Amino acid sequence: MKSLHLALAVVGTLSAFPASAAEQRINIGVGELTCPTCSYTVAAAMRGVPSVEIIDFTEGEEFGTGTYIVAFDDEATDQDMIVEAIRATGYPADIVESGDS
Amino acid sequence: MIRTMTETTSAGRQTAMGETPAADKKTWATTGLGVLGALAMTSCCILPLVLVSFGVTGVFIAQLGAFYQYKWITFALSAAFIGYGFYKAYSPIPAEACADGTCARPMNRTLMRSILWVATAIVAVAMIFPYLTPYLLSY
Repeated sequence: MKSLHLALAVVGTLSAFPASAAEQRINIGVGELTCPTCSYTVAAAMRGVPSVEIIDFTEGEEFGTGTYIVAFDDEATDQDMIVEAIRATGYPADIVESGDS
Repeated sequence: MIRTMTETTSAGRQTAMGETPAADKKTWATTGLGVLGALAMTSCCILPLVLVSFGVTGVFIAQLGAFYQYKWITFALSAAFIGYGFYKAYSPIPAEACADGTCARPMNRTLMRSILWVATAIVAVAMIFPYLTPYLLSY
């Protein structure tokens, strides 16, 4: 019985933490990109978050909107930190599903 | 014969005679406003990018970007002030201006011209930069 508890504890611990860090990709929709350099300013803000890499940026159909495809290491940061880094510069940002922009 | 009352000091500084202190102040104020206009022109696009690149953050960054829609207004004001500054800094001073003895302390026109040229360069960069951004920067 004691060894069963130990085995369950080990399984629980292993399932709580991933075996290794993995690159994650998310789409982030941003608004109020009303100037030609705004999208670059937002990209610079995101690059301030550890491990973040901008894969692509596409302008949205509506003026001033755009979607970034962002890659990051989930051991170094998480998606909320990236979104918060954008919001901290005053631009509205949210995680969107692919093709949801 | 109209003779321009400009002289060059031993330090190489060209000075103009014939400007009253009030006129000096007005010309310098115009130059100052031209410089402020030039800086205002950088506020929408270059300044936020530079600030964020240096780790500065704040909701004002997005608000600065909103100034882009007023760029033609700031450009017109800057051009007017800088243009007037150039007119005052380069126009020759007629000898008659000093005839009544109202010549005041000399104005440093070389410094004014330098400031005006720098302001002009800033305005030019601020106007061109947004169009060159896709070629200069990458995501």
